[in-house]
Amino acid sequence: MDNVPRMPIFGDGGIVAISNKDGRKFVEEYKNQENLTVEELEEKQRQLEERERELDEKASKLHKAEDAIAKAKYNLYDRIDVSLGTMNKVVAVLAVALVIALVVGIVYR
Amino acid sequence: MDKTKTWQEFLLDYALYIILGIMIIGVVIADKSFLSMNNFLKILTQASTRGILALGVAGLIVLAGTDLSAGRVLGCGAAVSASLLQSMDYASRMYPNLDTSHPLFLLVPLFLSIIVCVAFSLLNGFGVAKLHMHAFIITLGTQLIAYGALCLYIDSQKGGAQPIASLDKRYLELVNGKFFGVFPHLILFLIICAVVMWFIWNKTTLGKNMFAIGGNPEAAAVSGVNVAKNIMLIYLVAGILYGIAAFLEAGRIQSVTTATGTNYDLDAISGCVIGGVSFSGGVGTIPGILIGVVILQVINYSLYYLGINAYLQYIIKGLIIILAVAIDVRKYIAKK
Repeated sequence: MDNVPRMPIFGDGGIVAISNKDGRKFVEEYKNQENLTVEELEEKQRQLEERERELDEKASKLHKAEDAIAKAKYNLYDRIDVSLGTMNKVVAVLAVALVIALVVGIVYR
Repeated sequence: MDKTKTWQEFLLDYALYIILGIMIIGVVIADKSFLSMNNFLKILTQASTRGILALGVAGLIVLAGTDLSAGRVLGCGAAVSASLLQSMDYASRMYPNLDTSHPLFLLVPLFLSIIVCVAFSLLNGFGVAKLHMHAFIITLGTQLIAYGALCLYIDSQKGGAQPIASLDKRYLELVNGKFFGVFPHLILFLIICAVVMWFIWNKTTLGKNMFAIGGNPEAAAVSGVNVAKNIMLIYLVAGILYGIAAFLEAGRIQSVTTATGTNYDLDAISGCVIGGVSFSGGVGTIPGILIGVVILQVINYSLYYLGINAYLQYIIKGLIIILAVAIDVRKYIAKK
């Protein structure tokens, strides 16, 4: 930015432009800015706050969804902290017990 | 080494079916008439009402729950059906004031049986869906309530707690009759219920939601599934099936007492477990349930044929259930 002094130009609702030697350049920059009253500013602030709240809610829903999908399935079998080898032995023992019970039942009928 | 491991895994995965297969082969060798069509139809007929009960219980197991009250609730439904369909010329009828000139339309006791069973089922469903109680606890309580209600109902007869018997001939013919003198009506009713349940499980939103909730209730909820409503609907469907099974069972056994329905729920749950319905939830098929129920009935028949002591039969059936669940757990751990 050069050091040329700038003079604000006031209009309805506040500063509408800043003029200097190259007044036209800066007027063009400020032309895009809206001329807002206090009430309009407050309304805009309210709208922005509401939008922020909606975005926060959306973010929290997304977090919940992520947690639910990423979380390990909680069910009856999740409590079982046993290795596959141990479970193999359990199944084998139960199968043998069943066969013994059947044989005993047939022999002593 | 890998081939040996595969064989070991095969033996462990199918241990139960291998043992039962060998047992049935042993029975067939001992008595060839075991495999006769007559015997087979007899086994299927006995399995029919338990199969319909199992179709109801299976939905609750797929939801990762259970229903210990199914048997007693069936007893209540059976008592209501039988009491309204006693023979008009039976002197000790429970309702002597029923119009003898216009026998009750058969569907009326069926609907009343369904209403009674649905009431108990919805009580269970409310406890699970809204109060988030564990299905084991709420159904344990309902089991006792249903048993008390059954005993009170049977005891309210004029002559005290006597069996509700001497049933209407139309009722007996509907339940125990045979198409062309060969194919029992009961098996047809089971097939109809199985087809309807297959459709509900596989072709409707309710069925898809049931598997989703059983698989992961939290993921189902965030996907937009109304978990509580769907749980209540599954319990409602189960209640309807209990009512139908109760109506048919009363006609099949032709005498309802306070002991009617005892251990039926354990048979239904065992049939589901043997048929591949997983207690971890979200897994189960209708053909699997039917096969499990038939296998259980074949086991009962086989143990009886082999002349095994009645008390030892309890031990053997208990070992079969534990082995079926252990194999299911093993498959779950192997998948993890």
